[in-house]
Amino acid sequence: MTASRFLSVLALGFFVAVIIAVVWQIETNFKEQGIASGGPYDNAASFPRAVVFLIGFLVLIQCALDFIGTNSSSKLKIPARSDLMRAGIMLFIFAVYLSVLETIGYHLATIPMIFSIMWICGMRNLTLLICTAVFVSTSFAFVFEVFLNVVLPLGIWTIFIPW
Amino acid sequence: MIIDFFSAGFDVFSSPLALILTFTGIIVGLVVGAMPGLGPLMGIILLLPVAIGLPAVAAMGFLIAIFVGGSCGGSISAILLRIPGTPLAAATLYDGFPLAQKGRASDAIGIAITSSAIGGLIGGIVLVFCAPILANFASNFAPPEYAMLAIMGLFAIVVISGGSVIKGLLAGSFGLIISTIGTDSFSTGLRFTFGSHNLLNGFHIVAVVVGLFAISEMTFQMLKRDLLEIPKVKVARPGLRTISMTLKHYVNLVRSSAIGTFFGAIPGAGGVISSFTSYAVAKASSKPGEKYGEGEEGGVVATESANNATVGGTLVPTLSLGIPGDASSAMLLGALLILGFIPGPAMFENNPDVVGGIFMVYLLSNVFLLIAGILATPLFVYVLRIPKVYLIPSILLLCSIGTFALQASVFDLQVMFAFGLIGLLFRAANYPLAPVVIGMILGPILEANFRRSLLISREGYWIFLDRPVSASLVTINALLILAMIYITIRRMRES
Repeated sequence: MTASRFLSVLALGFFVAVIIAVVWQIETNFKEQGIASGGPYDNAASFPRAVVFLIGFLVLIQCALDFIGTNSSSKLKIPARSDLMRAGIMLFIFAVYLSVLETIGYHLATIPMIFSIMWICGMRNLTLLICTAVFVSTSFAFVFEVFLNVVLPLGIWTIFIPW
Repeated sequence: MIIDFFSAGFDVFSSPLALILTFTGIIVGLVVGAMPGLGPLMGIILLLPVAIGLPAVAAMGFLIAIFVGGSCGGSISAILLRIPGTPLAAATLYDGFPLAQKGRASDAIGIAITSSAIGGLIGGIVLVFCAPILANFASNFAPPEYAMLAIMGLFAIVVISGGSVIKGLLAGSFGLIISTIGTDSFSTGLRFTFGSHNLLNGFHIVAVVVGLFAISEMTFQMLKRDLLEIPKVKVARPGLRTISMTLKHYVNLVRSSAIGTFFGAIPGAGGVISSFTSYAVAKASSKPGEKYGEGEEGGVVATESANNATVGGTLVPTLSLGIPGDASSAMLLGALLILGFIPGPAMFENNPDVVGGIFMVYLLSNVFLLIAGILATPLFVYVLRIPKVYLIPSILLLCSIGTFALQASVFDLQVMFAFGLIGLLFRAANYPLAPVVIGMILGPILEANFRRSLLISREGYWIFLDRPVSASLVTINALLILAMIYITIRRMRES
């Protein structure tokens, strides 16, 4: 299976998953609440049901188009493995950052995140890496906390800068 | 009537905060427009969390100015680097870059900025005159008309914006489904909340949009190998004489601005189509001796005046009907909704100060564009030299803090990341992202008006054909469906 065909199948699979989730919810949760049928006022399922019907119909057409080879994504240029790895690691670092942000706080989480992403981008000058990470993190915190009155996550150690 | 809007909106418009933010928005817009990979939509998305905490007109001034500046900023990198900062500036390459090669980069940038500002002002005049008329006409609309109008907005964007019609419809339908998550406004039942209190009001649109567009874009940027490269760009300093150089092309300027405004007012057409069309028209009407494609000033005038006039045009249906013309205006519409205003005839009647304020900040942003664009071009050229290694983590951080700042909620960050992955999948599989946003915004309008129509109807679905305007919209929607079928069959045959 080519990469473009795989991505097409993956995307269609995603839409099928959406259909299943919607239908399952309508048949269980909506019915329990008594909002799966009735007139326009009570029937909260009518609109989602119509939309998933449309999605299902469109998925079938897209499957048929893919099957007969009318696939606009066939010109996909596949990136090198190293480039994919770099993007994947960036996403992983970002996911870890978001998951620990509330626990360890903005300042402790952000500086390593910026440092690591710049590192995987290829920068190796340690002084520049550290200075940039600290500067970017602190300047963003300053703008949001001082000008926009946003309280950034303090973490379990309640770390904040008293501007 | 128009004077009433201006007098009502003058107080909110003339506040120092609104003026400062409009100017700041132009600078931000020019910067994000000039940077390849960003653009006005990304600028609006990244700064939406900042804007929604501000007074309405100041916030809209900030966002509209980013839209205006961003629509012009792409020309700077197109002229200097031969890389359009945004797709809007793609047609500017034809004559902008050859002009730069002839040693006239400063003139080309000056002409691009002046044309953009004048095109934007012409679009603004159309906005000021047409939006109240359209809103007045739409004040007689009832739920059936709004339901059909919402369907038309979604269909038009899918048909006109190019790409696969089926994929566009799938993306739009996904947006419609996302919009149903939360508490149903009719029955008060809970839909797709999976027992989570975080989902009682559905997903925050900003978290969804930041994830879909910004996170996926940064991931795609990471796939490139120019992360540490510093682009070699020569400093350009356009002077005020470029204004008179631009005005010499007055026929081209007015014609291209009219084309841009027209395409802007049609949902889905947008700046790319208008700039290429106006370039083609300018080339077709060129005088003997004018060599389009080899560094002709008229080529830059045509494309840049058209793509900025589109902004004014796209605001006409956005403000008067609540139907966005493209993804950027959908974000502006989303911002208005978050700020507590429902675009449409009711806003023109109940909030003339906000409508008048928006008219004025739009017109002012084009004046600021001329001033800031010409004076601060060396700054934007310097920004082009910033390597991506600094930009990517900074933008990711801005996405995170901005999304967190919406409701101080970590759940929003998780939503942002999840939609970032969905955005990645969609981009990789060639599914357009704009219809998702349009679907999310039009979804509640469509569902509420569809159900209201059935509630007031004594003849079921016939209500959509009983009323003349609604029946006309049903006909247009049927024609759009036929157009979709035709486009799909034609592409099948071509491939």
